[in-house]
Amino acid sequence: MNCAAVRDAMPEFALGVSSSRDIAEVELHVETCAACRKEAIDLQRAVAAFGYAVAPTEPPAPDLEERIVEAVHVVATPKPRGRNVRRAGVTLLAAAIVVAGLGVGAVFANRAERSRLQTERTQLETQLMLQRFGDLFSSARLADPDTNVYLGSLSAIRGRGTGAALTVVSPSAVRDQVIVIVNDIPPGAVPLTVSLEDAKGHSLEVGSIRRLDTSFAATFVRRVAGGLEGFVNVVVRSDDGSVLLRGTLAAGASVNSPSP
Amino acid sequence: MEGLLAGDDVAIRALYARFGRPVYAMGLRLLGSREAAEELTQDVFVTAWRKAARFDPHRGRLSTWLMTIAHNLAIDRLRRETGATRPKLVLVDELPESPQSVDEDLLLERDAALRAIASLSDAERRLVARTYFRGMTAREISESDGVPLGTVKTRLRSALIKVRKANEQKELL
Repeated sequence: MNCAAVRDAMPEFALGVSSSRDIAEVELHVETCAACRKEAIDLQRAVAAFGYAVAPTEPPAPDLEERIVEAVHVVATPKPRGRNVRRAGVTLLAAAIVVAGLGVGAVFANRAERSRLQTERTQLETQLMLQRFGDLFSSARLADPDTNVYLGSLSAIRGRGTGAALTVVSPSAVRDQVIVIVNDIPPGAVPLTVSLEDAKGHSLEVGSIRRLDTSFAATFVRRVAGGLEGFVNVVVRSDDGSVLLRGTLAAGASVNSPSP
Repeated sequence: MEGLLAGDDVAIRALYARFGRPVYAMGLRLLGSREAAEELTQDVFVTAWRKAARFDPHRGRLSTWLMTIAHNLAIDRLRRETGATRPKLVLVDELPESPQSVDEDLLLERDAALRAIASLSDAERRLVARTYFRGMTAREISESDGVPLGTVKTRLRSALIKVRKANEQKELL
């Protein structure tokens, strides 16, 4: 997009009704164009006024603050220590080397080679996502010793896309959560619908991913009432209802209380 | 923001104390139920954590950044829901006041926002409200009203600039 096209798209961008493609293009443009960036900031500040103009209502549930603190802790990767530092360091170093190699190599590679390299990169990204989930296991906020965590990677049924998913299942079923990370998603596929299925074919739609970031990735976090035990198949459908990603979760770990 | 990035309790609670109520209020008005508004509020803070590294105070205020995240998430949800659960169009001056006391900063922010929006004509307010509160795109409004798409976009931009200028005057006082 040039400046004129960005200015044309800007009111809808500020008002939050742009398509994912327009959002990505406007965000990319304003990174390097100071004039359009100022326009975006000005319009977003104007739009924010409408949010503040909404009259205050009755307060939210008293436990909402605690739920939010817990949710942020769940998705915030804790700083790895000891052996984890080395493991993460080695993996990230390997990732950096491979990705850097892809950058140079892809210029010279033929189509088959580029495809192979792309596949390797996708696999690597999935491994990194799974490692990030693995780090969550040790989070002190998942301190219930009876809590089970199920995780697995999501694979594209056809075309592009990758992902990983994790469910946190507690015996009381009151704190069950679903976390799904998707990556390299075609912009035209959104909104995506996330569903969980059990072995008997029961399906539970847990929500949608409507917006991708500029890397065509998104993180989905949802608290689910009613219990997720047994729902180990994750299905991500594209806007047209076709299955985009699918994966099966396995009991990755019982989350133990952290050592004092 | 560093505290939020680290998942620090104090930082998260401070952000919630400052912005939890307006985000929840917006969610309740747009989505129509307490449950949906609470889910939205939780999603806003999780998203803020994910994007905290990208927040640049030189490019805008924290309040604008958070309210933008909140509104975008609310619109995403609103647009995927059917008309049956969609709340009716509400204009800001039709909203009832809460009898409960709220933070004074929030009241001041709201007062300033209402004065800025008062700079709009009725037609401009209705136009922006259809987009802001119902998530209608410029194309949908164009087709609904039989008005050229370019005209709708121009009117939206003019209205937002008016609000922005009214806000600037407030800040200069």
